[in-house]
Amino acid sequence: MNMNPKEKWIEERMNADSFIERVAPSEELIGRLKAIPSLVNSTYEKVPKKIVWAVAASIAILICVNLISLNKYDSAVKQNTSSNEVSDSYFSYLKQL
Amino acid sequence: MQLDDQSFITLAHENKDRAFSMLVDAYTGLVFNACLNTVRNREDAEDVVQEVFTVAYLSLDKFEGKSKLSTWLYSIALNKSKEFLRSKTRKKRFGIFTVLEKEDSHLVPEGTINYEHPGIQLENKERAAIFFEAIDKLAENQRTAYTLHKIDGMSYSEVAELMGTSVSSVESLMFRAKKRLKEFLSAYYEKNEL
Repeated sequence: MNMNPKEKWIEERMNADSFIERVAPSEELIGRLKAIPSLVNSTYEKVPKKIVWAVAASIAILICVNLISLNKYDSAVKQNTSSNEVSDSYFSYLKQL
Repeated sequence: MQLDDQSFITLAHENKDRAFSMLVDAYTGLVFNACLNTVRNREDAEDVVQEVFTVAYLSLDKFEGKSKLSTWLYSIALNKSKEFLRSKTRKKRFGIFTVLEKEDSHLVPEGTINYEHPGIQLENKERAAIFFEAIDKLAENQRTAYTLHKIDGMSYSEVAELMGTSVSSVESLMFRAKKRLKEFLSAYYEKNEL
């Protein structure tokens, strides 16, 4: 096929496979890749599972204790306000004197 | 030793580390070149390849063989390379603002990513620079399809599988990509009076 210089120039630049060659990865890179399992496993096994579970359980207990005490405090406050109201109304005539 | 995908899955469940070592031996070249053709710099490509294989190692148990092993690795490589380029562009933009705040220096033109592609001979550097400039003007899916087919040498069906689309869509993407590339190169030719 006869192409004019412009078409030829464009065609040469579009056929990337003719000027981009495949490159072999370096040995150093392969070494780095082969080290991934030991690297990943050492990162994950730094904290033993027992400790992770113990910390999780302590946090859960802490939250429960806080919720219970908050609940008890709330009911105690309610009880206290209602007893105050009774005494106030009972002795209210005294205040009028 | 080359394993077929099914034997690889069995091996991955029995001995993950050995399976991973075989994966590295068989596919480093493929993944490295895929990353290199996207990020266009050896050091950056090596960093991305390391990320790709780390993700592959962590999700080796989840690979069920629904796609080919090479396609699976290729798609991770493609995503990680795009992620890398996005973060690099972000940093570059941020860098421009920092420079502007400090002094009124001239702007760095957008999209100029320095490339040190080791697969390009010195005599082809100019040709490659124009090609990369042109390909960077394409829409992302057109660029992906063109790179996979023209540079990585994949067939249309492989590109379709990798991009999660049909062969006819890939054909259409390639048609539009070629048309736009021709338009850009033609304008470049006219502008520079070559």
